[in-house]
Amino acid sequence: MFPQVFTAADTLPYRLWEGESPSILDSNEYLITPPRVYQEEVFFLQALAVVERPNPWSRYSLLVFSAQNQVRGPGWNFTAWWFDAYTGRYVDRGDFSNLGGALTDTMNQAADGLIWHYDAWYRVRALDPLTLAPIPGLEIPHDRFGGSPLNQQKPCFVFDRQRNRAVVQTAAEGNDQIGVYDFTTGALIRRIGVAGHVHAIAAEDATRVFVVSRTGIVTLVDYESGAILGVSQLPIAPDIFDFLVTWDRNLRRLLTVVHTPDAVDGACTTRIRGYAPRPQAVGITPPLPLAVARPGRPAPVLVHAYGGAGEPIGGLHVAFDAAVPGRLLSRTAQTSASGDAIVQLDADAAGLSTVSASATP
Amino acid sequence: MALDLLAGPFPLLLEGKPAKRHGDAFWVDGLGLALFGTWQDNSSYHGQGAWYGIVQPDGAVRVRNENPAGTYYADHLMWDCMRDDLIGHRPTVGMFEFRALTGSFLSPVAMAEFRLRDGSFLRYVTGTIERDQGAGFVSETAIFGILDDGYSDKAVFCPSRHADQVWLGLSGGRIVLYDTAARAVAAPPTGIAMPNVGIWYSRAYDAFVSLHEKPDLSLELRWWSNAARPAALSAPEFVDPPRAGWAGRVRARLTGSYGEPCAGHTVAWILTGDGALLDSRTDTDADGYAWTRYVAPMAVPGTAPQLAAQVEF
Repeated sequence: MFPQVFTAADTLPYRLWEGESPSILDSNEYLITPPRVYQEEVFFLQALAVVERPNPWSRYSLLVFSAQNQVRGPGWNFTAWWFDAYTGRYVDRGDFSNLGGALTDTMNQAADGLIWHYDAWYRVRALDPLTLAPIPGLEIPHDRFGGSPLNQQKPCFVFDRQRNRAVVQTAAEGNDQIGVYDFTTGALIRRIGVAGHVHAIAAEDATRVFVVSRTGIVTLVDYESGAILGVSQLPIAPDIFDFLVTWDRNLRRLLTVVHTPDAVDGACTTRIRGYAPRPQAVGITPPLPLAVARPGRPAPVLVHAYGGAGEPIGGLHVAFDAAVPGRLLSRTAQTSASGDAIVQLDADAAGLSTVSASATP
Repeated sequence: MALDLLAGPFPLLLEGKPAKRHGDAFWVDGLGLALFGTWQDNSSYHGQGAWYGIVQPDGAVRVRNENPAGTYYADHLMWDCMRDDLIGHRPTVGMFEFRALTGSFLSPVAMAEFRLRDGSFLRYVTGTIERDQGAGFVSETAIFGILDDGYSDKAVFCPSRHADQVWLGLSGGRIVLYDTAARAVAAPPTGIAMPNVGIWYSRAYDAFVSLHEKPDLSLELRWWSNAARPAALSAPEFVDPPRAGWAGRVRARLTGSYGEPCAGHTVAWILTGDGALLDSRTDTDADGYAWTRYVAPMAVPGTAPQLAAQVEF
């Protein structure tokens, strides 16, 4: 389980309803039916990115791009919400309803920081991360990779132009697979099986990506070698609508924005959070003897530490205690990379000793 | 009881509820018990789909991969020595290399059986170990007479700590060490004397772990020592006939309930009558024998010496 290390100070600040009655051009009046007082709500999330955009608190900003339902005609808007990357304070917002209107689909940040936009016209275009304006000449067909279209329902893609690679899930990949393609030619290089139904891909450093399943299982993959470097879990609750993920390479944290239900008065509860990519234990086993302890023949006693996806947790300090008449040859041990801490128990008589263990991170 | 029960039974619990099987399981060192299961809550979130989880040594289940597709599970998992990972058979889909770390199926393979390092396959069919070296399975070693616990509907091959030897665990509860190079049973068979749905050897822990399904389909995990629990100690046997003034060899054999030798146990020798023992406590050897020497008195005694042995464990 990745520990949470960051909570944005602010949620997405919806605009309040000014108070007059809606006109015939307006819609979505449920938004201002008491006790609700806000004139908009998130309909779906589209992008989460880290952008070098100075704000009053720091040089870096977090971008959340989302589609809203609103009371004012035409009943929807597309908004870029900017937050300070260090504090999570709200900075400002911009209306980008002209970006593709209701047909705007999904954006993903690439390894080089560019934001790639996949719209419902099946266009895959690079956007300037500051202005969100399409960059001329940087557009690819959505079925370039292996001739299969990107997964339209939940497009997952990370492009690495420097190494000429595309890490995507097309219609040809299985639910728990990602494909690595030549970015220029679209030729398949390899497919990699990951843990769980793929929901998001986030570019980590070098040739690594985090692949996050819809239940929050995270697989760290090296897409150049195909190696699985680790499996862990983000604490994503099952009762949410949707979530987006991106990697913050400045502060080395996995950022999520989770679309959660509005408060009773309609206030937004959707908030950015950050998680450190070092799994923490969610449990340790009771001490398990690996052999029968007999007088004069110490037997190994095992404690295994595990994380949210069952991954072994190394480096955990385990304190053992033995009830008489046994003796522990060591009272403390650290879990190995396999999550195992083992001490030796010297029993006075077989079957009489009991051992207890506790662990601290 | 043959092998010593070390720990358990541990109920398999997923989010506090009993976990149910939906396919096969296999113990993978460094990971845990890889298990296919199915959600029982019928919620809209989980549906009735299958999941792939990692069972911890104490029975706690952590789901790692879930996929609502009806064929996402393996009804047969076997070890692949070529990849140090698993091979899985998917009903109606086929046989695939399997990545236990992520629960994902990879390239198709020729068959879902235990694959040796040279690419040949081993399987167990009603009392016989068979091998396929590319031209179909050929009977290799009949072990039905050894594993006399009747019909076992499931057999699991596991790598041992020896490169050429594999453990074969049967659902009836018997375990045998088989030498794939010598093509013969390598050690007297042992077992756990309990029906199971899988028994695996852990190279990392040098112990066995078994999975048991109860009548209500809930599951339990048990840990077993890789050493037979003593069940019988033979009467002391004078290997050399007592001769006045000579130290003759005496031995007693310690065996488990399947007749397998119990090594490394201390046997206490008790002599009543004339003469002397050179050692009053000795350890059993790899064949289960403890040895000592009896020195007969110079004068021939009127009554034969009474020698007794006892073991503490």
